[in-house]
Amino acid sequence: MTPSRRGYWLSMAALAVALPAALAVSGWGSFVNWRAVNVREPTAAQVGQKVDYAGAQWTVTRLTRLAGGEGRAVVLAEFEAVIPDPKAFANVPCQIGLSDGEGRTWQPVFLGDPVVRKMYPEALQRALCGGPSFAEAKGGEPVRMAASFAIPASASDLKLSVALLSALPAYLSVSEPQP
Amino acid sequence: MTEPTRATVRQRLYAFLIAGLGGLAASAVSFSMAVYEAAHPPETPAVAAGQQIDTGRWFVTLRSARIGTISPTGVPPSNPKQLIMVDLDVVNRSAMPNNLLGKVVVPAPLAAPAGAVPEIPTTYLDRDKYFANHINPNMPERVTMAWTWPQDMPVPETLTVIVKGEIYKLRDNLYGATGWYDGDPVATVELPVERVP
Amino acid sequence: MIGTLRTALALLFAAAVLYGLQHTRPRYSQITSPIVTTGGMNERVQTGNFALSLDSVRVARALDVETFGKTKAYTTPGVWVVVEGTAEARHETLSLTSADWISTAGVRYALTDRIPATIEMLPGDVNQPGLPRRALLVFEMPQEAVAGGSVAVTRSKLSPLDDEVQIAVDADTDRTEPKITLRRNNEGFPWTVLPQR
Repeated sequence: MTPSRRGYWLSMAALAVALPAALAVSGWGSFVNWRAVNVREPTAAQVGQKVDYAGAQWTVTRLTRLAGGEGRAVVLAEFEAVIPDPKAFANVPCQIGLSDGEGRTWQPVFLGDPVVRKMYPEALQRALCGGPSFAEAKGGEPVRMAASFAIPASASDLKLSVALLSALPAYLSVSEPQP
Repeated sequence: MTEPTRATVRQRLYAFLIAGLGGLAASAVSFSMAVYEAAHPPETPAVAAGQQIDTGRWFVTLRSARIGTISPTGVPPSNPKQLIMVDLDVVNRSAMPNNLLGKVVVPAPLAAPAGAVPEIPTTYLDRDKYFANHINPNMPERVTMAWTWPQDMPVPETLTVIVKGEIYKLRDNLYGATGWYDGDPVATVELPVERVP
Repeated sequence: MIGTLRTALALLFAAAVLYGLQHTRPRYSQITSPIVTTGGMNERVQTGNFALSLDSVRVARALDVETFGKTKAYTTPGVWVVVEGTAEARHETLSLTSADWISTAGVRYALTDRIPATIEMLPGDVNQPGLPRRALLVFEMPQEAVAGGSVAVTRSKLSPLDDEVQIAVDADTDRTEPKITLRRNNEGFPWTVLPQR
């Protein structure tokens, strides 16, 4: 084999290694992003149970289903957090969601449903999870929050999720108490 | 296997020279054409008020101009400012609704020293006496465009409005996307400025 | 001699191939267009994310909008088309923020932005999975765009390769009404289209 031929085949072999390596290196960032968005690790808890999440102590105090009529139900979630370091929380976005056994997810409804207004007027005074509600935290006093959801009455296996962007992929997952 | 014939050094030198000189000549011609065009801008035809102008994306017919403080909504503003208002008829000739008339109809004093005054006008739909958002394709509408006129700037007797053309490209140079792109001015229109409250 | 001829032919062939490639290349708007699911009236048309059905279409020469006891008349150089239906999210809470009328000529007419936001149309609705919700769509278009047109609904105008539902609306242009009224209800069902039929 002449030296130039050897050089040719060596280059070809190097290409076989270099090309996948280049793809892997350039794709790594996207993969990390994708994982950050899509891979979630639940921290499971029950209603009433205190649980540490994202540097605060969380308790979901209520997760109830209220009749909404016409095959519709309203789910009210009330929860609180004891935040030792409110400053660190001031700008952390927080996502609240409700999911069911079929994998459907609901976002909170903005204005309190009439049913909630009538049965739990106090819940309307509470803010949704997020920066403004955390900012009011004073050492040791729990921050009270609430969210309500509109779902079909047939949905089952409900789970409330609370995710703080600073703590992802971990999120807090609380199941609806079974009667 | 026979060795491939290789060009002599002299032949390769010639090839380099010819390619280089050709390239130089091409850029020289293109540059001088650009200089010539910049030195001799094409005359934009003056069009009388009331005549329809084809800008490519729009048909516009400029009607009249006036200066005042009350916008076409008829509601006196809380902090009065001078508005120069131009009434025109428009037809959107493209396949999509849009509200980019401000790119096409520009008063000349605003066009020249850019940045002196806000260039984005507010457009009002005369039919509603309210803000016009999208102008739908193939629906002739009478609109009023209003620009804020600086208090310290003298109000001209006549307003020169430049009507700019837009070019449709099936594929742009970056993405190959279809779209409308700024073209040369297609007309200028002189409108007497009426003073109203 | 034969070598020269062969080179010339090869060049011609390359030019032809390039020309062919240039002219068969899909446009950017085609590459990034939404993935369309089509259907007809009174039919639940379903995509991965949402389902839509349309059951009522009315065409009128003028539109009155009645909110909080005030009525405002909206005239048009064309016609008003009022479409009603039901929208449902399938897996997650979402809003369907883009709705266009596409005429047989391929011209798009966006949802009207002239009527007040107190009349809530489809883009303002939050659709919850499993809870179908009545949707209202109001378009303004020239008379000739009505026949054979369809309604295209998608989550966002700006997301390529997203799901889009296109429903062929067989609007009966012979039944064009002189005027219809859109009333905002303060309780119960959010809107009523009058006269009822």
